[in-house]
Amino acid sequence: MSTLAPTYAARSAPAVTVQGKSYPWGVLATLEDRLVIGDETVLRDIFDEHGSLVLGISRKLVGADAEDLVQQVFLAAWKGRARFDPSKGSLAAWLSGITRFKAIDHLRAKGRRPSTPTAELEDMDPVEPAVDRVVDRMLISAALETLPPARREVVELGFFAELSHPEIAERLDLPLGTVKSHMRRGLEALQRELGGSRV
Amino acid sequence: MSDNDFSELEAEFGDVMAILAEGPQETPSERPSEDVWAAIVAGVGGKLGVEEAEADSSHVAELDSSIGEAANGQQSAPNPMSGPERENGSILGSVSDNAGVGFEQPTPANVVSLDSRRRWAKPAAVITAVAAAILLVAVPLGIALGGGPEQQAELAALDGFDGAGVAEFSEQELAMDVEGLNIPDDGSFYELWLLKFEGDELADLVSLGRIDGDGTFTVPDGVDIDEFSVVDVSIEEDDGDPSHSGASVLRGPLEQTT
Repeated sequence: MSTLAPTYAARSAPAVTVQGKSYPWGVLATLEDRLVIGDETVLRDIFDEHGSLVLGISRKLVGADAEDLVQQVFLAAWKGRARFDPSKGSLAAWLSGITRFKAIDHLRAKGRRPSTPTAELEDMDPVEPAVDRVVDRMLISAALETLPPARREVVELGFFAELSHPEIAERLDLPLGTVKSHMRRGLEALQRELGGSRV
Repeated sequence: MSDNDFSELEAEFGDVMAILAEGPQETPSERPSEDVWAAIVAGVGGKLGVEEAEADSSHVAELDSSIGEAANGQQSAPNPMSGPERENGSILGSVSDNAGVGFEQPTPANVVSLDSRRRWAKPAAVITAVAAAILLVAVPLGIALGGGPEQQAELAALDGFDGAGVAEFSEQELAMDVEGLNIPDDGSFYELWLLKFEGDELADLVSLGRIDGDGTFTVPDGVDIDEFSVVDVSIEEDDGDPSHSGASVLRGPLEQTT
């Protein structure tokens, strides 16, 4: 029988503080938080959430060696988890940055030519800007999908359909000011993603 | 986009805009295979506290025969995978000084002496069976209490954790059954609490003790169960600090039965 004298702990529950954010009662919801705190079960969840992005980038950069690269990226992410700073960018951006780094290593080791030539990189020299372009495109494409729907729609109409702000306002039946705000917020979020992959 | 709108934004967002101007890209949808995951786990040395892909069901038979041994109180085999993940110490070091983090995520107990280089692959149901057999003697609820329970709580896992439980109260006695909790191999343990909230604020809490294999607990004299509204299971480090670690694993509201 387990019996203890009553242990009346401090009146306010001890909170867990992670990088300045306080979480009462161990409620660590996001993948970012769980990674920072070293929750070992988070890696599989990150693999499920972001694996396709990492694989997609890898396929474009190193072709047949893509799966190896994915493994290297997740190993590096796990070993380097203490260096992940959520304030500098998203998990997707961070993983993209690691992928970029590992891919460049891989390509250099192979004499700056991928083992299986991929259209993006053949005859491109130096390698790094070409790699950057591939990574950035995929990261932005994935990030677009995570934007709140209204912002995503405005950005896509503005850039993919090439509508002006007034045309977007009319198409979506929104005030012009709202459209401008959505566009700005959307671009801010996407720009932050790019920055996050460069840390 | 008109030239005016475009040029205003370009100063700040030129990089992104150049990428967007290339047009829609196909978002990668192909997921890496389970083989890639297996390679990742192997590369980390298997110290991930996660279920690995089920290799084959012959493991289940081996585990079943070992559950009996373990449940008889046999010392669990030393975990060959526990060259301890003290790297976690560096994580805690990088966390703010105010962090009251007093736990490390428990890893599955290696109670089965398989070939130490072979990762033990087990489906979720087997983990549950092992955990329930070792962590807590399943108490026939109601019978143990000598009568119908007056209050009960169904415990659910908090985000990021697994497991579930049921607690039944009668007078000052509590009978509990939990399942799905991984057994820590680093000295940390689970503790049972009653919580009292006033609105959103925690007003009081009382420990009912460690959860260590016995499913019955006594609520201390002077503690009125009716004043408490939540049953909570936390994971605690064995550091002599009696306060709640802040890391709750299971929680559920305490309710009157009929």
